[in-house]
Amino acid sequence: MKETQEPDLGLRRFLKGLGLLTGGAALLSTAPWLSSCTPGEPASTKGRKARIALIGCGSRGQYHLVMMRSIAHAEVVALCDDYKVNLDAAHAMVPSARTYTDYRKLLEDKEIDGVIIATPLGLHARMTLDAMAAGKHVFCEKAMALTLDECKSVYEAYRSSDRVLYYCMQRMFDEKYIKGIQMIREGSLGEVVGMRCHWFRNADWRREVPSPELERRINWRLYKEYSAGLMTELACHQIEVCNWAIDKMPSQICGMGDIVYWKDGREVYDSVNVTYRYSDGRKICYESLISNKYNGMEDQILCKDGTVDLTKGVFYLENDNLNSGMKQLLQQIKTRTFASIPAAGPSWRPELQSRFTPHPVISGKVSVNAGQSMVAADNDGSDIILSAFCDACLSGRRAENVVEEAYCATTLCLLGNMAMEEGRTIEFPEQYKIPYMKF
Amino acid sequence: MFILLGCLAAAIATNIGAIIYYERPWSELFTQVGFMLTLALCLYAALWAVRLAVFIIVLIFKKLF
Repeated sequence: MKETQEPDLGLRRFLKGLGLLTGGAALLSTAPWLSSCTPGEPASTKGRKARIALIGCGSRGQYHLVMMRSIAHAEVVALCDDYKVNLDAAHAMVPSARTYTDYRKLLEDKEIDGVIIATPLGLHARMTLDAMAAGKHVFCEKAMALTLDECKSVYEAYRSSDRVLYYCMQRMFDEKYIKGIQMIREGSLGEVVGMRCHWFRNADWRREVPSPELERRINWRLYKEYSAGLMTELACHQIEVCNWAIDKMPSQICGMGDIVYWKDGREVYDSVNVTYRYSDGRKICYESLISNKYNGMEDQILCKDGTVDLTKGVFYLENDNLNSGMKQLLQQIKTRTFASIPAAGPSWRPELQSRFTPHPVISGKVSVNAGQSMVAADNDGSDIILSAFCDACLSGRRAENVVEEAYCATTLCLLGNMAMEEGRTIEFPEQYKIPYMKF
Repeated sequence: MFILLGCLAAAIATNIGAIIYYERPWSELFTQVGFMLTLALCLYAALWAVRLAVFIIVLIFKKLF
């Protein structure tokens, strides 16, 4: 590991913002994974650089390379891709890095501490297992794997290994999410009564293909051989947040999925509606559609006294009557006047959504991801989680619950797909339960 | 003049009632002055319309009988 004197300002600024550097240890009960990068241990890593390799140099891999530039305690030493165009593009970004076309050859390189895996989902499990077996620390893109059995294999390999394993569930390292979940768990907005998440886009999810034989490799998200579609690519983040908010796992899953608009030979759904039911009756109502973007992306946690929209970093109070008494009086008179009009029968009147005032979860500028990017949003936690991984490569400290959260979210997404394909309600299978899960 | 003052008093009373009913701060007595004046003028205009109608009806009755 090379020597450096520069501190990791990004990670420290993040931890300071959360209050962890000034005794805000209560946050650790909300986000225990932060304990792996809190001060104390890093003294042993001071002045060293983690040697990182990137496997998969596509758009997301190149995004990580850009993030790596601002991480002072790490350097990219190797790159691997079997698609020359992407490998050349990444090499141009990091000319000093060694290049490989076979990831197994890269894993034999003793001068590498950790690998970033940014390949299609279908390759995640095998590459993660091989990398850990080769003694490398691993930072893998979400989701964990393409099948439930692969998820279990990776989880068990992780449990029996001492290697660091991170999944890029960046919301877990996003300040507005951490503070929002803390507020929910403290009960400031009353009991959580439901969750409502959606991700809407109006794009075909395709990339340009230079020649037809590359179609399935470049547009891998559209084919079941590599991808589990909207559930693992988009829903995975949001389902994880819901479980995190109430510290429970849903026990039943049902849903419907279809190819509604993009009938272009793709195999995965372009429209999904999935309901996850917890044992106490609370539900996650999940919806994703990529032929209409009106609703954008939202992660809403519905509480008895308010709603938190974690995506925007704001909360709304149920009885937040910021209107003056006079305005409320006039509104009431208006409502009662119209209520007397029999619009569709004697007992019906329109119950329109009230206007609520948004209150910020955190102070200062909040980065909002409207959900349109296929690569990433700015300041969404991706840089922080990558920095935390590089820090862990030096300290060897495994982040608490990151793998477990990824396992729970991925299995739920895969079960969502199964429920849609089989058209039935699925009970969470016993053989895929792990001790971390609370039903 | 007395009618206008009466309308203003009614508007102030409505505001006080709304503050009590909706549990709003008493500062709305001042912050909602615009609303109160508008309400007072509306009441005055409504009363004026009623008074005009009564005046016309009375005039018609006097002419006829």
